Amino acid sequence: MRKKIIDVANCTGCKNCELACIVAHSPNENLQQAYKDGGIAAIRSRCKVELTSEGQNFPRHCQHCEDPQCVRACMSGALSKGDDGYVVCDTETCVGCYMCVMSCPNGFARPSTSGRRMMLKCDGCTSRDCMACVENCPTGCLSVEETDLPGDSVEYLNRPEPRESRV
Amino acid sequence: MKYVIIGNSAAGTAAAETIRQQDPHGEIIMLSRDTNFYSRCQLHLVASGQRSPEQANFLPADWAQRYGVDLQLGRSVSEIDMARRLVRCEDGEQFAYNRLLLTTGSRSALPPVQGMDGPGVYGLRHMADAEQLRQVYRNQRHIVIIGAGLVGCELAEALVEVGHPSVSLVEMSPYPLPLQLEEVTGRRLGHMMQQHGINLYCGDGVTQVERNTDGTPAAVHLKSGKRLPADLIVAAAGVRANTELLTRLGAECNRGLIIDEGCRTSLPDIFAAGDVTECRDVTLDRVMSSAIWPAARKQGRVAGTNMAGGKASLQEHTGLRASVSLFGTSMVSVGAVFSPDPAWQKQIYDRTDSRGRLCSKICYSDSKGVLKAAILWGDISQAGLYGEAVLKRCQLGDLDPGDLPDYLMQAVV
Repeated sequence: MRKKIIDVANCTGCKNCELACIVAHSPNENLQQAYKDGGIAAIRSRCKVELTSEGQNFPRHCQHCEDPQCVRACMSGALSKGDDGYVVCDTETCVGCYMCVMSCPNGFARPSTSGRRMMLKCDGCTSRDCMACVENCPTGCLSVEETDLPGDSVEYLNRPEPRESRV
Repeated sequence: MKYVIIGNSAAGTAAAETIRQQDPHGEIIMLSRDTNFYSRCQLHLVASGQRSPEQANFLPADWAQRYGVDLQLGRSVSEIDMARRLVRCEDGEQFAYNRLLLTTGSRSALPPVQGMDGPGVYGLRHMADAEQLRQVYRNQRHIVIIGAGLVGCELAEALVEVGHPSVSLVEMSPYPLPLQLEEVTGRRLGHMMQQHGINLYCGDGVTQVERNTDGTPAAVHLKSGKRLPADLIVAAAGVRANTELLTRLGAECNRGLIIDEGCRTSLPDIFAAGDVTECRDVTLDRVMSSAIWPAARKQGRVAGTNMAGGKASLQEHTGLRASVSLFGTSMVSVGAVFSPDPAWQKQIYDRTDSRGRLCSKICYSDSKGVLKAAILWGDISQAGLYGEAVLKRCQLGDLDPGDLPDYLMQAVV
């Protein structure tokens, strides 16, 4: 199984992963074309680099959970977890009820902004040789590893400590 | 081991899948009145013709083979013989069971109003309802939908979207989706529906259905005295759980069959899941129905695990979680927004996003700063995080509930 390893310590927040994700999911894999069609806003990046309250970069990618809540909530049968461990959406079957959006505890299932009512999530670039985000990561934050270990298909290293709420 | 599952929708199929994972050799028999698999949440799309009945199937074509399920579709169960552990069908066929699961769902309840019984009045619970509606609605000038809950609103939207010129929606509450929205968002939705051409009558109820001499509906009369012309009426104001098979045997039952944390009914070796049940809801801490798809699936999995000898319980279970998109605006609601505790603090956060849409978050938190309920309007991409916070009873402390970036939310979960 292909596992995505995210070493948070190496993230500089360059957002090359976000751009690569947008390009990989644009109609012709062409950035200029995507811009020209005004489509860039319509193509959402499936991954995101966020800043923690401590100012640390935190690359956030769908974890393709072992027990995926989005799949559990799907009423159309569009979402499924394949044998390769990746949770993918069949866009033809999706009706955009957004119960996956409501159910993903990490916020990685999102409504598409392309106009058609359907959900959008990381597809693990299963149709590509290498994931676009990993391929374009210049800092070594993202990498791929072949492993037989069970669990989520994405693994974090040096994950930022959650900030405690101050009561 | 022989497992018999009555019902083939969300809960029943989830149970069958789970049983098979736990018990590779057991015999799984699925009995259902329905003749095919379909997602009830898509019936409004089938009724309006936006999706075909085949497209509403939520399972892969080889599902029964893949999970080794003996499908007995088109069979209605008439009786359960607990002493002999038999399920009897109306056609006389009998099936023996060691463990039985009831996922019989619910049916539309027609409002008890003069003239309601008769032709031209439909529910929207079964594929047959949707197919009938699809065949007749184009030839009917005026459609009146009673009840602006999830089913009523989604159907009204679907019919307007395909161009029906006269769709009226009657709702007792002051605004549509009264169980999912509160005053501000509810009135906003009402306004939006009217702008899109739905004739909305809120705070009103149907008192009588007037019929033509040939029996077809002519109009509905409202409490307010209005008379709405109606050629076709859809009753979407309430459902009744199909509990009869077990209540006859003395099962503990409220409006639905009461099940415990392991989806067991009060009868030995009989389990229940889905819309037919009532169980403890974590957000309100009270026994109630949880009539949403994900909750039915979850109950089905828990029931399936326990039927096959495993151990599972309904943790953080709630049915008070809904997602709906109407006219391009998405909404998600979590928790008891319809009856907020007077002690809860309500905060409203509005903003306009980069595409000029109004996005709102309505957050209810208790005196300890625990998020109890929330409504997201417009931008729902963080809805899951809010859901987690409510279900896990996270203390937000100094984190502002209206402006929680995901990682902060994750921090408190």
